[in-house]
Amino acid sequence: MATHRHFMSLIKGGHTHYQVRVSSRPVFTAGDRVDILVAFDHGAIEHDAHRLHAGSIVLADQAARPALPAGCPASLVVLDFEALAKKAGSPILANTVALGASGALLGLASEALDDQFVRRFGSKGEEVIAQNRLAYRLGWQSVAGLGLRPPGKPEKPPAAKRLLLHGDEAIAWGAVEAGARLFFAYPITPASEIMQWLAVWLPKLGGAVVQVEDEIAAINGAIGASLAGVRGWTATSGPGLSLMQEGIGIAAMTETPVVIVDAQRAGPATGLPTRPEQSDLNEVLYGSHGDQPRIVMSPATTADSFVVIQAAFNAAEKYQCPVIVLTDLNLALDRQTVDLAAFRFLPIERGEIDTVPGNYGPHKYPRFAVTEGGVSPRPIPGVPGKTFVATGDEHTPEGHITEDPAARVEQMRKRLRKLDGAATLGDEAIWYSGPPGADLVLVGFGGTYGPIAEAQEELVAQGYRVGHAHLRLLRPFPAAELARLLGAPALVVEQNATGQLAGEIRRQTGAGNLRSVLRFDGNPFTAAEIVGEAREVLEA
Amino acid sequence: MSATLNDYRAETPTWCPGCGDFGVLRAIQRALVDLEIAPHEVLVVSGIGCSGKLSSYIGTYGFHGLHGRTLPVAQAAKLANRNLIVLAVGGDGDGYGIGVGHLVHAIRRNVDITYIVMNNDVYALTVGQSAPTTPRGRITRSAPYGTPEEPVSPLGMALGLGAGFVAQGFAGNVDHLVAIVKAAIRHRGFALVNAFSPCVTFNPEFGYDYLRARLFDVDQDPGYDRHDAMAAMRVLSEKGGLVEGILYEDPAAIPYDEALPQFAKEPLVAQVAPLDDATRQAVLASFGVTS
Repeated sequence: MATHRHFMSLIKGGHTHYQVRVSSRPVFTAGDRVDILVAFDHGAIEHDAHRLHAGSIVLADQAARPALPAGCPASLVVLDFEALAKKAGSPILANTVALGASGALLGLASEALDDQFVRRFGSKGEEVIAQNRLAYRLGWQSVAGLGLRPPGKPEKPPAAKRLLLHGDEAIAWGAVEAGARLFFAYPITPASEIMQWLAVWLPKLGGAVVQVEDEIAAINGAIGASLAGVRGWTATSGPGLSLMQEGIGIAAMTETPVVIVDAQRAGPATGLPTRPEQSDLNEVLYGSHGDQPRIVMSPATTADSFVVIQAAFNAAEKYQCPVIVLTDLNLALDRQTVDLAAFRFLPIERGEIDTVPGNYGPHKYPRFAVTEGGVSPRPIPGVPGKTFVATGDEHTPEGHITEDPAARVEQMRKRLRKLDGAATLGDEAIWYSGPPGADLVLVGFGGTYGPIAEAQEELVAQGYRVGHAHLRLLRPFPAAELARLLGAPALVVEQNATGQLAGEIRRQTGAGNLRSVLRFDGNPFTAAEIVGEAREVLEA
Repeated sequence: MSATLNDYRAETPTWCPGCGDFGVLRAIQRALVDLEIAPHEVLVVSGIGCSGKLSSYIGTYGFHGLHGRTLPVAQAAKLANRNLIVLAVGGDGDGYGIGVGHLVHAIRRNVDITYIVMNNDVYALTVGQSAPTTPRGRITRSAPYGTPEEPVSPLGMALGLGAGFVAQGFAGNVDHLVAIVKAAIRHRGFALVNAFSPCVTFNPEFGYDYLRARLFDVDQDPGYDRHDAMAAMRVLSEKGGLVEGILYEDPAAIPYDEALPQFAKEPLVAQVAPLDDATRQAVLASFGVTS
């Protein structure tokens, strides 16, 4: 099952919908077409009429005085949601009435959700549970007798343990599996769900969510916690990330591990705060003043979010530098069912952390010793005989402030070479699927994985030789690996207006045969539009 | 073995001769020795400015961070390892200008750290611009026709925000400052110490003689009740802020980390581990997986 939540930056009013796609095989998007549309107002029909087909059924509330636009081939079923809801006990039950009506269409039994109502409303008492059960039945009965044929009914998938969750939850869970117990953040769409999940679970684990005064405090808090020896982290979206840029720089300069999740939304400024976009790429790659090492990872799917966040904590400590995990609104907030087997648990690797007491005089310990790999042992405050200062000024190996040219060059080179040839992610930097010698490669990162994968599948079914390369690591950029895959023309699919990924690919690989497919209207890509663009290239 | 002053000496300070920051450094060093704390048990988080260099000179663990951002780092480090003694130090520009937002929330959050502000009424490292503490009308390099704003009143602000420990010291009276810093470190919760630390180079008007002649010592006043916040407000108002001593202390204040029951166990720094099996099963169940 895959879902998509469309919402606006309003508390009441505006158009909002929740899209659910059910399939007997794994799906990564909520799909392009609509088989059943439940409409509570007229705007809902207008908004999605173009996605309806001849088999579609529209269940609409009578109060909305519903009508299908001219030429729309779907069937319209008008029900009195409100009257049935009142009959069940309260007008607020209209959505449960609609749920019952949809359940009847899908062939579910009239008592199919009885247990779910206990789970969902148990804390509200028996009456609320009984009202919801009745509302469901009333909705169910109003449709069950109409003889409507459901537009499609998937086979039951093979038995497996499956989770229902979204990317924010996968990241939060992955972080606690990675041992992170202190989280510093300021609320922001679409990253707040990470904070909210942790706020429930961290107190049970001995940790805490510290809701700080701004994102500057969040990044500095994460750095302070890491300095003291825990796995400090924060999560934000574009506006917060902009405030964190100076902090990212001092983490790099003081060689303090820190993990930052950027769940992108449409910018600049407030932009479209509840809509998907991938326009922070240049900022995460190039933001913050000065030359500095940095790792940027980008999970492709919900389960991958769980894996990548664990890899991020390991890499931050191993390379003692900031790691940014770049996701986007669809990946962050769209719930999907995922097989438990897809969730890989990584061992905790803490790099050169040093808890052995020493004999050094005050500030004599070479915390920033120049090493071949650029990483130096990192004592944790509290260890006797190894005191040091981590300073944002340029410094000697002992952490003393210096403006000596040779020391400056030596330390800069030390920091920058940490990521030379580093296997920061621990597994594939690029997920590639497709035939050898493909005629076209679709390239993307992050939450566009679903629509690109489905587009590729459709194109292959149409007989085209098309590959799909999805980047999971953006710094260090896997230039050589990507260059090998880009022997064929490439279509770079990204949710921004300027083709930031395409620009980066050109810069890093010199590849010339790129064409961009861009979307920045606040809505997610559909597979169909990618198929259309790909066919234009393939048939040219 | 107890630590000595030598254990608290690291790099040679680069402050101007006569800088008030020497007195503040000496007071912190002596306070830590008196309290029998070893340097490796201490983290000093400093900001940017002349005062920010203090973390380099004191021999403890240190973080010399971003301008104005000492408090977020210091609070987080304390939450990560409650066994550390955490001091944040910086100047008045750092704490009352660029970083004042963090001060407001550090007071509200009440994590058990000590914040020592070296206040010289001027931006010194950038060679003499107006600070948030500069009196209205004073001519500086950034205000050649006189500073147009009123100065902040840091202690009045802290009291108004409900701070649990508010004190003011003076680099020219190190013995007294030692006593104040010791009390601040011992206080359970957030403690603010505003330490007048004259800049002899860029703001000699606000110097040792000026302060020595004017500071009213509440610790020497037998009638003064340091548990009465209104008394603190009154004396600050009466003396135009030129007071010295522990103005207010709330011995019943409960620090953030003690108020959270889950922090009762060993420090978080000792708990970097995956979920135990029971918790993982509970998480899976919350995502709809039945075992």
